[in-house]
Amino acid sequence: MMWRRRRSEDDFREELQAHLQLETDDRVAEGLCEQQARAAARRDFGSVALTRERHYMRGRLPWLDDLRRDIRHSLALFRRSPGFTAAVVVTLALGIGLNTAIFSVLNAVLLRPLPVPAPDRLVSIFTSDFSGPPRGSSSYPDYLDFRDGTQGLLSGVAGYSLELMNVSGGGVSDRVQAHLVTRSYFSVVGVDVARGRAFGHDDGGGVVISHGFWQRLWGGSGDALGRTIVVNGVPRVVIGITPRAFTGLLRGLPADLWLPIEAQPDFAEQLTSRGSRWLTVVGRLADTASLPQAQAALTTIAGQLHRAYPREWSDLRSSGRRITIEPANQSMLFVERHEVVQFMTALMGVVGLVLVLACVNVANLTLARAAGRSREMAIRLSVGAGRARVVRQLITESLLLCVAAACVGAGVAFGVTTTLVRMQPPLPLTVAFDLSPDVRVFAFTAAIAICASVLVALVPTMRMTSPDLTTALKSGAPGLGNQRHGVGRLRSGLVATQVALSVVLVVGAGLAVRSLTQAGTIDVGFQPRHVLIASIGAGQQGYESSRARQLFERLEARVQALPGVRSTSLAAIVPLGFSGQRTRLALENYAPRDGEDMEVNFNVVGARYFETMRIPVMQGRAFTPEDREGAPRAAIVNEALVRRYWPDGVALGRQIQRRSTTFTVVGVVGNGKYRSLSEPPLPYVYLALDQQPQADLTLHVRAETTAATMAAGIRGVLRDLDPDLPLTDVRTLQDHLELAMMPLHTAARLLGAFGALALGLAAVGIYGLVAYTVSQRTREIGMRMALGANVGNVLTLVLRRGLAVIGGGLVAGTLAATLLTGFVSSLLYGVSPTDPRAFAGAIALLTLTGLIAALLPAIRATRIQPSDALRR
Amino acid sequence: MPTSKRDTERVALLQGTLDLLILRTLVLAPCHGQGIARTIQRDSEEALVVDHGSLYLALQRLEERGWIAGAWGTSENNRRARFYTLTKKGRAQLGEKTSEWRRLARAIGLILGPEAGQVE
Repeated sequence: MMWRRRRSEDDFREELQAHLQLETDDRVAEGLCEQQARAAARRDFGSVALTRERHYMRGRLPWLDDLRRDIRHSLALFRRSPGFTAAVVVTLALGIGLNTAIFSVLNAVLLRPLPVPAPDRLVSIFTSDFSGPPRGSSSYPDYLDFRDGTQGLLSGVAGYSLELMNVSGGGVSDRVQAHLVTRSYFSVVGVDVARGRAFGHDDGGGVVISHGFWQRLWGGSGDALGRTIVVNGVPRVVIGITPRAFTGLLRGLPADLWLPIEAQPDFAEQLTSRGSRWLTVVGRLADTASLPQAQAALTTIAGQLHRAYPREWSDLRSSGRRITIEPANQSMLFVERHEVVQFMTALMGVVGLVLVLACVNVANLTLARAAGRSREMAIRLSVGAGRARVVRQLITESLLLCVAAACVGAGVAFGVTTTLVRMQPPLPLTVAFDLSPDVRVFAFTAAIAICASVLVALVPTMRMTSPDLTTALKSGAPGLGNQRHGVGRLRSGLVATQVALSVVLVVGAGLAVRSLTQAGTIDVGFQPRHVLIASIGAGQQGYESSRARQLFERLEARVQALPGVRSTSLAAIVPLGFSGQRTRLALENYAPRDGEDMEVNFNVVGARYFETMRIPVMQGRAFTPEDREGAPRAAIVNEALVRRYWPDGVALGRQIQRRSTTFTVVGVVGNGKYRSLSEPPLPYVYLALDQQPQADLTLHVRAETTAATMAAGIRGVLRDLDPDLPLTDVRTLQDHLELAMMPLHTAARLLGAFGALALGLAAVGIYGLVAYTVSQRTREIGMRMALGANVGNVLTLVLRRGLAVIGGGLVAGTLAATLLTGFVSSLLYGVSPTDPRAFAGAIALLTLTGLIAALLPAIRATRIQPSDALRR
Repeated sequence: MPTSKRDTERVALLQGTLDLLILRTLVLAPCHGQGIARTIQRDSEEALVVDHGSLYLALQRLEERGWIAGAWGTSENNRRARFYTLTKKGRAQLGEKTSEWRRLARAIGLILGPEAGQVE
């Protein structure tokens, strides 16, 4: 047994000696002389030493022994130079920590399986959009056909839709993310409701709430089941609470509650409308079925539906829409998966570069120490240590450093991810990703730590295992003699690499900043400065329409009278937010193609809306107070709508039909951005608020006072009118636009931070290189100065190499950046990846930094006193 | 040289048989390593040659398994030597290993058939 107390090696050796003695005795007894007998005994035995070694090795792992020794040696080295060790660990920890943090995000967004049993059997079913993209929603009648047509292949099919709803009850009122789901939802998803039950057939008034919402509402109290909450004004009985882990099937958008679609009177119309595509459909593969089989069945269904409902099932090119089925783990809502993949890989690439830079920096530091260690290595090699053994020692050292760095890096990653979790985009939605580390994150961190340790060990290994033994041993002071040139060349190469990598990262940062300023200059079609917005959910508070109208009229009049207010208007939708309304329209003089999606984005706005937003009126007029109930219904369209549907350019006086109501176009206004900054000009329709009364509106106020004063003023007015009515989402329109800018802001912030980090590391590298040159050549410099060299000569001497390194690094970095920045184009907006300004800026910045970093030690060199230097 | 047999007639020990032979030797009386080697050689009519290095490693292994117990003592000719005694566990192992070996030998004998001289 390995762990039992072993017999000592000495005892074993003694036993072997005893054996030889006895054998000798026997042979003497057989008649040999003492000497011959001893020799014969030895000869018969064979190698005593070999036997002892075999005995020693028995049950031992020799490499484990070596490893223990290597680790002990490494730890002693670290203790001897704590500064070096700390610098290395911190540098690597930054690199590893950033990578781990970004990978945690990637993991949460792309890799983590959905929190349901057997997530790989859950599939998403999409209907292709009218204009082509394959992943669109489906209608309720379609969902029923999918369900009936896949029996045997899918053990169940369900649909759901995310809706924002107002909840009051339990003393709180809250905006929640509700999932409207088909009754089959919980059984298809496979999640058992932890407390209570899922929907049955008579649960029209029931609601299932999430674990998180239960905590928020009642602190997780035990008697939640059977209590009533008011959802969008309708009282509902809580019949179930989901387990903590299950927050719905939408990654990043946790559901607060679930309501059965079939029992919602508001949605009754949607249940029979085949053209109304609003459900995300999921199914569970039967045990015996495969994805391709299910796909084949659904393709058949698509064909049947196309023949049965040519209007709803045709696409832009008048061919049938397609049905796509894919693992639900892969599907995402709102964004295309490949865009997310692109964004995340670009980000991973950038942080990967930061890690490489950190490794180069550490290799450089190690190399600086290499001079001091060349004697140690020479001694080890000359007393017979195998080269492999020495390399192993070096790798052990760097592995230990990387393990330490990975531990510290985990702390860094934790800090970064908690900051990310806290960062809430200015959305009406709650975004929450599960960024907690799992097996994949740990494996990733371990893998990059190992890669980093190999990278770090590589250069000193190449260097140290081939020293010139005799010179290294002979030289009295460590690091002198002919070592200098070889190490110096390697160091120069490493610093040049650092500079090059920094160029790439700083160019990246420059591009991000440029794209941010670029995005700031995008014409959104209105002027966001000095506009404050605030939402009033009177309808959600239970106002019926005439009372709401009265309230809004008074509110608008009184806000208009506040000091500093230029103009004010109510509107249903704030552009570039998350919400939007689309409606199906019929346009005079335009015949839609079969199945053409005639849904157009629209807004319902007050009379002074265009004035308040400064949206230019190109033809006709804006709304006026005369566009009231009873007057002919007016509509205003944007230029993009005219261009798209009325190529003859005639718009004024034309009719637009929505359901049974006809509107006459009275004006044409300029285009704007409505849903995202990158969208092409979208057709858009405005309807007059007085003719389309709405009860949930947002007040837009253009004012000259500060936002805070204005907000206080509006609050005061509303308190007077109805103290119970909350004013929500109060912010400047400019803050609101931040939402659209958020990905760019995030990219600029991240890339900027990485660029700064890279710049710092490069500066340290250059400084170190020149300082090293100076320290190595102090005697030489002193001698030259004694012989009459002037400051200029000395500067040239020590700066020559530093400048060459910077120059080389800049050239290589610029080339690399040209090749690499295309890769991060998904992080950019409106800027070419080879934007000359970003490149010029980066090069100038690095040159400047490099010069300063090189000059500091060089100037010190000119202050060397020849007498001191020569005496050393 | 005390051995008179030619090398070709010597038999290399099969893996694992050395353990059995050691245990068998120790049934009679406690003995030291050199004595065990001699006994095996003598009792096999010099057919088996024990590699001394392997023997000591085997002894160490058996001791660690608890089949034999070693202790320093004095030999007949007053030399210090490490004597090994069969333990209870070792005795049980001997029985098991012996029958195992007999079965193996019989099986191999059956396959090989009668010895050449006995074929009619």
